[in-house]
Amino acid sequence: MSGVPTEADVVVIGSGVVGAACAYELALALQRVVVVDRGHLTAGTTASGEGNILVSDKPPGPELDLARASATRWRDYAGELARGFEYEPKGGVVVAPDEAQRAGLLDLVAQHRDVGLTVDVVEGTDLRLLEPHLARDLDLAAHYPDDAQVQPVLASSALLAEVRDLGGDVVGDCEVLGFDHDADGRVTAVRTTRGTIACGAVVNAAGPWSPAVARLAGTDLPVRPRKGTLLVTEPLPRLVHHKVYEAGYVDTLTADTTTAQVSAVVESTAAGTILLGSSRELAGFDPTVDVAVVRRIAARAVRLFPVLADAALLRTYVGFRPWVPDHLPIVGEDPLVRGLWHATGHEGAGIGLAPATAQLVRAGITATPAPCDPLPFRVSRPSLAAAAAPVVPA
Amino acid sequence: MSADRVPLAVVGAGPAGLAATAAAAAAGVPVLLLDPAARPGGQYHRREPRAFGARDPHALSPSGRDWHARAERLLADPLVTHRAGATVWAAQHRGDGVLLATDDAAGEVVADAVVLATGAHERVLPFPGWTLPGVLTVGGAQALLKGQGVLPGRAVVVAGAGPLLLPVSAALARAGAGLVAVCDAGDPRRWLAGGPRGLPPAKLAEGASAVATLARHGLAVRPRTAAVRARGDGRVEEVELARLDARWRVVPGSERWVAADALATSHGFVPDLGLALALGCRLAGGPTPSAPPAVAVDAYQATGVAGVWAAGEVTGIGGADVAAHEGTTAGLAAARAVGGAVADDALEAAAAHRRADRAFLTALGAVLDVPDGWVGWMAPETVVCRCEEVPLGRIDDAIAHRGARDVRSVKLTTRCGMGRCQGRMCGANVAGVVAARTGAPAPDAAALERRPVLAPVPLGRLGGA
Repeated sequence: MSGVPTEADVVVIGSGVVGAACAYELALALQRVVVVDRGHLTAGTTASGEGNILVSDKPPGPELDLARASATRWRDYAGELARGFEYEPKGGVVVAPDEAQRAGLLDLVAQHRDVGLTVDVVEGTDLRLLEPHLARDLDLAAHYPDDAQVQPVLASSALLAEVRDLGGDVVGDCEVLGFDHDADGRVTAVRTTRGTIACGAVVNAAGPWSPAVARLAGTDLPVRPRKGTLLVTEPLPRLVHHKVYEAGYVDTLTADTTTAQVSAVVESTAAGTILLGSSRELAGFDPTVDVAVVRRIAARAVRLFPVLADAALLRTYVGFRPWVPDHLPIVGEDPLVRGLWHATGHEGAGIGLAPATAQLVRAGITATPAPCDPLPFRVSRPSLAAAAAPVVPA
Repeated sequence: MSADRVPLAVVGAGPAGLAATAAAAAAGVPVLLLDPAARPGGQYHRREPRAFGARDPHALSPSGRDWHARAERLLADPLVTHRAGATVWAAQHRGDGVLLATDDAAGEVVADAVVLATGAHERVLPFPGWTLPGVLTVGGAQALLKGQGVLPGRAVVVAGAGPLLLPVSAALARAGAGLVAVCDAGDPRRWLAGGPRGLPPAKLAEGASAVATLARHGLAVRPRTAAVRARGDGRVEEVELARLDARWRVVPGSERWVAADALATSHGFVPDLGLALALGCRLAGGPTPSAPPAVAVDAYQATGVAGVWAAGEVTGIGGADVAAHEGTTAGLAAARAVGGAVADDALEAAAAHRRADRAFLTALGAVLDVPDGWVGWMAPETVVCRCEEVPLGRIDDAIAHRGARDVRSVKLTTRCGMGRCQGRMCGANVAGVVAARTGAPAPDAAALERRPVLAPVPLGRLGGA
C-alpha cells in the first residue's frame, strides 16, 4: 500500500464536494494540502446528491448569506477550473400546488425581495413560457434566476484535480485512525491507515460521518445522517427547463421526522435525464431504497409535470445528508480541539454551500478575509447546545 | 399501495424457476411465478431448445421429453399462479417478508419466501466496429435463425467464446449461412480443465457432432483467434481476425481482414444479479479469477438472506440442466420453510445433483474465462457503454485525470452504465477495463450490477399516493 506525505499544512478529511472545495481554496492560499478519504474518492454524500446551487429555498439569514456567496464562487469555478462539471445557471421555478403552499411562497418571495434577491412572480402565459409542460392548474410560480446546478461528482473531481495541479495530494482508501496532539491539546498530526501526516490544521469534511472523525479527536458533533432518495428517468428531450420544485419543499427542510417527508423537486440534467426528488427521513444509515417512497416521489413529480407519466424510471439512489438540529452548517474551529476545523452539517445543501464554506475555512486557517460572517456557523453556538436531537433508530 | 401476500414467489420462468415452481407445488405450497415474457421457458426453452450446447433437449432436460406440454400442465396446477408479462422492477426485504414490485396491473406482492431464478445475459466484448449494423450476438443470431428463420447474412463470421459458439455455428452452417470463419478466442483444450469427468459423454458427443457438421462445410474452428475489428460503409463489410496469446492479446502480425456481411460475437454469460443485490444477497467469485460474480448459495440454494433462495445461472453459469437441478433444490427448500411437505431424503437427493454437477461447472468455468487482453483490441474512440455512448478514451481520461480508480467512480464521472440497460451490457467490460488499467486485483466487478430499479418502468405506472 502506497503511503501518504509525511507533512502538510492542512489535512482535509473527506473528498466530497465540501472537502474538495476546502482543499482547493486552501491550495489557492498557498497551503500544502493533503486530502484523505477512507473509501473511493467522492463516493459518499456528494455522489448521491442532485447538484443544487440554490438561493431560493433559504429564508433570509446566515445560510442565505452563505448561499449567495457560494453561488457567486461557483460561477467563478465554472470559468477558472480546467475541467468541466456541467455548470448550468438555469434558474429555479418554485410552484404552489395548493392554497397553503401559495401563501407560504408569496411570503417567502416578499422576504427575499427585502434582502435584494432577484425573484419574479410569474403567472399564466409567462409561466407556460418558462415551463411549457407544467400541469395546467399550476398558475403561479416564483422564478429565481440565480439558482444553478452542477454535476456534483464532476465538480468535486474537477476541484480535486486542481488541488493536485497546485501540488497537493489526494489519497483514497486512507482511513483516519486518530490524531496526535501537543501539550495544549492542539492537533499536530493525523494518523491514517497509510501513515502519519504531521500538519498544522485539519479540516473535518466527512459529512454525515463527521461525528466519528470528531470523536477520534476527543470531541463530538451533533450531526446525524438524514436519508434522501432520488429518482432518475431515461434521457429525454428537454421537458423541464429549470429546477422546479413545490413550495412545500422549503418546509420539509426543517420538518425533522423519522418517517419520510416527500415533496417534488424536478430538473433535467446535461445528460438528458430528469432527476426527481425529494425525500428526507432520519433513519440512520439504512441504505434501503423504500419502494413506497419511490412511488410517492414519482406521484408528486407527475403531479407537477403530467408529461412525465410516460417517462421511464431508470434508477434510484439513496444518500445520507449531514443533518444538524438547528439546520445550519457547522463551520469553524473546534473550541475544545484547536487546529481541528469542522466543515459539515450542510444537509442537502452541501453542493451549493461548498465554496463559501471553503472560503470560511480558508479565512480562519490563514487569517484572511471571510466571504460572510462566520459566527453563526461556529461549533459553540447556543442553538446547537440547546437543541435536543430527535430519537433516531439505530 | 396494498400488496397481496403469498407464501412463495418464484422470479423467472426459465429452467431453474420452473423446476423450483414444480418442486414447491408438488410439496403442496401455492406458488406465484413472475416472468417478463408472455410464455414460460426463459431464454433456453423459449428461443431454442438446444441453445446451450447443441445437445438433445429431450434427453437432457429433466422436465421430460415433451417439455412444453409439461410446462403447460404445471401452469395449469391450481397451486401455481403464472403472472406472465410481469417484470419485477424493485424489491425490498421487509420485516414481514420480501416485497416485489411489478410493472403490471397487480403492482406489488409480499412473499414469505422467494426463489430468484433471474438467469444470465450474453457478454459481448467491445472492439472497433462492434456497434456497426450487421454485428450481433451469437445468441441473437441463433434467435433470428430459430425463432424467425432468418439468416444474419450470407457471409457470416462467428467469433467469440463460450458454449454457444459451436452449436450456433453448426446450425448456421446447416442453414446455409455461408460461414466465413468460426473463431474461438480460447483454447479448446480448456474444455478438459475439469478433468476427464468434467464433461458428460453426451456433451462431448454433441461438441464432436458440431465439429463434424462444420467440417462437412469445409470449416474448422480456429482456436485462440478473435474478431478484433470490423469496418464497412454503414454496415459491416470486413472483419479483422487475429491470433491471440494466452491472455487474449493480439499476436502482432497475425491480423487478417476477411470479407463478411455479418459478425456474430459474444463471450460467455453474465449472471443477472440486480434483484439479488437489491435484496442484499452476498456474491461469490466464479471458478476462475475473471469469471463474473454470482450469487453465493449454500448446498440448499439458500442465499443467507432470510426467505431468499437462488437457483440457475444467477448463482453461476452452468446451463439448463444444472439450473433445473438447482431450481428443484431451491423450490423444495423454500417450500419447506413455508410449511410445505418436503421429506429430508427428497431434499438431500436434489442437493446431491448439484454436487455431482461440480466437475462440469469447473470445466465450464474454464471455458467461460475471459483474460483481460481484449482491452487492447479497443481504440480510444471505441464505444464501451452503448446506451450512453461512452468511448474507451473517456474512461481512460477519468482514470488518468479525474482520480477514478474503481468501477463506481468511473460510472459517476463518465456515465458508463447509467443508460437504459443500467450496465447489463457494459458492466463486466467496464470492470475489465478498470482492472486492466489500475492493476487492481479485485475491482468491484458487481458495482454496475447494483440497480435499485431492475427494469425501466413508466413513472405513471408507479401509482403512488
